[in-house]
Amino acid sequence: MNDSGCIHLNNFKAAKGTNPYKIVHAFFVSCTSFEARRYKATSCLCFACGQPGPRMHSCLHCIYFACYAGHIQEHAKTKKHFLYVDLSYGNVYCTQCQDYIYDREFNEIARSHRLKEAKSLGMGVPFMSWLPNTNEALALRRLRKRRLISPHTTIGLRGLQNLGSTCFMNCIVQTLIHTPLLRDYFLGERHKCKAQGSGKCLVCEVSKLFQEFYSGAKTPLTLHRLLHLIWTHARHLAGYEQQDAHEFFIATLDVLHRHCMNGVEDSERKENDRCNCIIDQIFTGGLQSDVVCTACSGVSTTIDPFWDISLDVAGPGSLQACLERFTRAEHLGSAAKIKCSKCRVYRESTKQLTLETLPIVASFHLKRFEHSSQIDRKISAFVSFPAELDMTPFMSSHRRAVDVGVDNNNAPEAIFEDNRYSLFAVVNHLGSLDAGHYTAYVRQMKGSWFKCDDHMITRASLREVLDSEGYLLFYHKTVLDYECDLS
Amino acid sequence: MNTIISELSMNDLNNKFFEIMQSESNAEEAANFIFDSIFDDVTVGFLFEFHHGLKTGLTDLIEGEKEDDDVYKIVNTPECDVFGFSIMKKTPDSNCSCPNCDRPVSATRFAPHLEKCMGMGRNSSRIASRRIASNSREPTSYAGLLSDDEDDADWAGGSLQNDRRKRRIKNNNNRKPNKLHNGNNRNNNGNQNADADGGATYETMTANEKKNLLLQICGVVSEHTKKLCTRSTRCPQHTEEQRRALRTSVLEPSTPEGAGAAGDEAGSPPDSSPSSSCSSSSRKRDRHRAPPKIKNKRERISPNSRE
Repeated sequence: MNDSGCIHLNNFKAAKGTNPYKIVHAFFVSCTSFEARRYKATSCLCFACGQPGPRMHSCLHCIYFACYAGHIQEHAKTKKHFLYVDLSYGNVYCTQCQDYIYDREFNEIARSHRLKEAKSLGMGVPFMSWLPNTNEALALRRLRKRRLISPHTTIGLRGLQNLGSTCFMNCIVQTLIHTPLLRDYFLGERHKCKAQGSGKCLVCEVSKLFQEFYSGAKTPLTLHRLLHLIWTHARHLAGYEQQDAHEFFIATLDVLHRHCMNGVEDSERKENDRCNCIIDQIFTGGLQSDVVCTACSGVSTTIDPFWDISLDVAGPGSLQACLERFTRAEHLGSAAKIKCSKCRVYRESTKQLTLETLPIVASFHLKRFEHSSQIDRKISAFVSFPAELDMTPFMSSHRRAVDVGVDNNNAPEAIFEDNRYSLFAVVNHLGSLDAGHYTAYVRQMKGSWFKCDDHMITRASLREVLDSEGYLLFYHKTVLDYECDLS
Repeated sequence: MNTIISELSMNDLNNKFFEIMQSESNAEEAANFIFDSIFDDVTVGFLFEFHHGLKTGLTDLIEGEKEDDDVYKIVNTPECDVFGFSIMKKTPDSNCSCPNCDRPVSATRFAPHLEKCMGMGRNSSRIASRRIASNSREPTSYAGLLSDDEDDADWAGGSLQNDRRKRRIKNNNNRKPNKLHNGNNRNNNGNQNADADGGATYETMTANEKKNLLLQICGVVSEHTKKLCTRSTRCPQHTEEQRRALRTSVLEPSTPEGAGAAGDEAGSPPDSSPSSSCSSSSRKRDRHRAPPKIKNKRERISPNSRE
């Protein structure tokens, strides 16, 4: 990759270093402070014509701003100042090469300033396109062949051998493999592991699985090592006969979450702070519980992490209705009095659950299996679920605003929040309580759905997916915020 | 020329801004100006990105050469899956190496094998309590115990395979009702098998019989099935130490005692802890702290996933 500027720029850097660029960039391209913004607002006018454009540039040799309508060129020619900086994007023009030139060192300065600018404005991290480093560029040059994921090929699809009633595992693995952000993480080889090669790390095993799915091979995979690892580390799973896909999903996340720590140095671990492993980044949300005393109206609030939401299916006919009921305030009654911290006596109270923070992947578990002392049964009631879901109504902030009667569309926080989710996987349980089978629908890419029945992968339509019964529903956040990694 | 001409303060700027914005035509002009500036900026942004990719060679690096993907094309016929395999045909079974015991195991029977191999499953708590019981009361009696081989049909290969397959069918018939009911009769499981199959136990043998038998077979008693291993004296499933320990305890003349007590303990209900209702929030809190609690609750909500 040719990003080492030009001979003229290199001569300039040898004589004056990178400081002139740093100053121009920090003050007039990406304003890294309030001071800088003031300078830019008050002084960025063309020194020749007094206009704010078109396309302001700054001379790199001296303090001189001018527009691109002839004045910056004129300055360069008369002063023999060959390099000037575009003030919108920070790119350098070389009049001797007669072109914009790109320099890696300058580019890195520009990126760090863009981060600082966003931070000083209290904004999220801006999008910056990926740039390969030297090693990555070498690898890209050496390995020219590119494998593309298209809706017309089987790349990314793989059947899974049934190991003797292990359809519960196959469905969960298909779901994890088709979780967009998890795919990006593993195909980007982001898991660095101290236990690498030992065969003891489940995250490494999943990493290998991703390679298998995208290898182009067509024969079904045998997940015997994965099953062994999960059973070894989640002993509470009482053998394969009792297995439920939901239970297996939670246990798998738990083992993955614990094994993610294999790659983290002890000194890097945050104390008291929330775990930042990829599993928690993707799957963990915060469930807020508000208990309100009926006597004094005192509120006791707790927030607990969650990986999935279990919903009662008896009654409501849609996922939204289930969620509405899940987040409704519930009177706890006289039989379940709770000690109020204000009144200091046991009082009747109401309890309300809301979503304080949303995970990137929202997993819903429809409680279709009812076990009571009298009867064990499967509830096959139809529950419709949408392809696109807005979670805003179930957020703590929204509920609070509704309760006090505020029009939430005008609340400042609502302007920036985008809580839309799209469906990407559905696990179904077919059959009865005693004898059943699991299958999964997964979305390979937008509009491209497949049915995974152990080793058998067949095309499916979105209609077919939405008409299925639904046991576990997986939604992925549509718009992702960038998180800053300043390390 | 080398001085900044505009020396307005922020206050001046603000005042001037409001003054100008008083006029409606100015406001409209300003709006148009801002829109044009943003539009120009975005356009130039695209051009820069494109120019950067071409000039630095990044575009070429990233795009590379597209792989010929004809071989990966999805097959679109109703009688095949996406890979072109017939949906009617079963996939050929393959062997995999068990990560626990390193033996080759038929893939389609791997899960039941692993459950047994790891000493897990419904019986694990029973096995554990037996182990405790047998450890505390030495020497142990092996009354009512059968060959461990009965259940080992999932070993791939071996000369006894046909014979074992027949026995396995018999065993499955015995076990099925227990699986479905989750009920109390599972406690009798071991005895049921013993009655059905009859068979050798150390208890009923004379010292000489024991001695002769242990010259021929491994004889280690499985902690899952409580049966003797009838493989050769060098069977790889058990260690020399296990064999030695067994021979020491079986061949030494001592009075067997506590057999009934051990049985009683094993017969206690597998899981009699009260199960609370499954509120979503409380379960989540459990998750990091107490896995066994989850188990208790989950056991109730788990459907049987058998095919």
